[in-house]
Amino acid sequence: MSSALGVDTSTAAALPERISSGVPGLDQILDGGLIARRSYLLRGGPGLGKTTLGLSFLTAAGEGESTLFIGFQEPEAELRANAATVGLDTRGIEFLSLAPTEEFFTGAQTYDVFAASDVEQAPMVDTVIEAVERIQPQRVFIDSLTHLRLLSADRYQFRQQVVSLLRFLIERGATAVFTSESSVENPDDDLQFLADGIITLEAGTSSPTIKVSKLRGSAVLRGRHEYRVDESGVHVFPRTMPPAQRLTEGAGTVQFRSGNATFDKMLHGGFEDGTITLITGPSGIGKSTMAAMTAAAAAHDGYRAGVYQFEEELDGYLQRLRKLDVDVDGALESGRLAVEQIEPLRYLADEFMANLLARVEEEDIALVVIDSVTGFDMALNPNEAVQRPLHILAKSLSRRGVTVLLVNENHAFGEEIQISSRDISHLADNVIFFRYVYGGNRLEKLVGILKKRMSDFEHEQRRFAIAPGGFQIGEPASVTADSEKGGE
Amino acid sequence: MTAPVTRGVILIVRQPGNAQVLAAATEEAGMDAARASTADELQALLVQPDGHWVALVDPAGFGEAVWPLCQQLQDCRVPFVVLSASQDCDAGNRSLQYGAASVLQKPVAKAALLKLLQSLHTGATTEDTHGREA
Repeated sequence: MSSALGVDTSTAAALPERISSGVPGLDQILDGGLIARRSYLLRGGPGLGKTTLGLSFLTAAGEGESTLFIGFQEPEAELRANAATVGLDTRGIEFLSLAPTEEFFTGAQTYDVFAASDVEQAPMVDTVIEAVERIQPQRVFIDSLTHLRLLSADRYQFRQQVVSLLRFLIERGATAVFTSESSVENPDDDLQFLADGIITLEAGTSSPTIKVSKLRGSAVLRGRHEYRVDESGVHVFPRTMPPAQRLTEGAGTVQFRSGNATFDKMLHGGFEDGTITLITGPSGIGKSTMAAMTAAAAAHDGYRAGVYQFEEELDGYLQRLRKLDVDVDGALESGRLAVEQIEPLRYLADEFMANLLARVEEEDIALVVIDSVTGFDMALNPNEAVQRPLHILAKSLSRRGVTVLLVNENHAFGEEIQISSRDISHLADNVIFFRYVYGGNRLEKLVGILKKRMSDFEHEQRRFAIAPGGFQIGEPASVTADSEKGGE
Repeated sequence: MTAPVTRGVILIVRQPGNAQVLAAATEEAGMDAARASTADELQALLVQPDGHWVALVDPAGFGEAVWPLCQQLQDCRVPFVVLSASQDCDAGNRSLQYGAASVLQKPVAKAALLKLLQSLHTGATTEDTHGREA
């Protein structure tokens, strides 16, 4: 028996009770959710969604569970209004707002005769105790403990206060999530030691990320994971690792036709299931067409296929395929082919990967086309190289038995055969290359197979043209030195 | 049978926030608090027959007007403590010239201030009793 992250739990005496964080993706990172009756530190700078995440945690309470929001900053009405904008129903949440009212300013309630800790702390503690005793919450969110730090005379007293408060809540059956605002002047290292779990929100270069760096008594999905906050709440996209090994047996038992009989002969049958194929070549040569033909052929053969088009507009793409007599409409109408346009700048890479893996599982998709690697790269954080996320995506699919076609543009011309400038060729079980060569005073197109791990293949290149009817592939080409050198 | 002694603290404080927290603190410690900002208001308190007062003076907001009030307290032998801003050395010195029992720099520790006020009360009551006996 193992947990979602593959941890063997068969020898565990008693598994701790898990409760949802309110965000399914975060629960996945937490290996099933927060451990009940523990305390969790939620860290992050302003505007990253700490309060929204806390509200999500409270709104995920089960029937009969009480919840308490202890806030030091915004008044209750403002919190409820903000929650509504991200689709959270806060009607079941009890709010204890310890934020100052406007009278603090207008009524000149500021003082300097006593330190704030002398004046504010005791009444605040009394108010919290009263609320907890009255509500008896199973879930408590405190936003934020930084306020308590400002009311403490020194670091030791703050630590004692926090330990005491968390123990008070947990001993009454609550799971507590609390935020902190860390800065160079006021680091929150002490809170990190006190909490049973640490969830950190960070502003990434192009998208925010979430990281669970500590969870006592549990495995977690390590690393940073992208998330977004929109009108339907917080969405976390776990960057899962690929399975350690192939999950399906008998890989290579199915061959997917390319949709062109001559090319299938070159392939000695087709693309084996569970393999990754890199279709590489310069712009406009026919890479996308070959990938689409393969997907349409798979659909006609009764398999489900998905094409994820990052570059072309969908209508133009489909129209182009129709002109080449690729029966894309029949495949679409059968419901076995899905073609989806992806705007890379609107998507997070982790979001795309998580959604695609979910769809593959749900819809039993057997063949996936990523068109193109460049487009996928654009969805990534600008500081992140494409190799690692593409490896995760392609291997996560192939080890589930899905056949993957990666359309990759290169800038090779003439004698050079370039697989990829992105160092991704290690991923590929099969490499199909396209190239231009000079034939007399016009450009000719060649197609060939550079590598195929699961079968032999034709080693000669062939000239081809794209015309109605699709690919028209000629006999093996005797490429002359002149044409290799670009007609010099 | 003698009536219980009412221990009171006169707050000569302009800033409302300070007046509020000082009043709350003194009342919490079992002492009545009363505010006075002018000579007349102070006089009205000092003439009360059963009043046993000590005073807290926060010069902030009074300017020079605070010193006649301190003189009035000294004349009536009401022990008083001045709460001075940390950077105001002059106020501290002048407070002592006007007979302040103590000058404390703000912010002060609440517990220490309350203890000081109670000890001033004890001293004032003892002195008062001795005075009557004499």
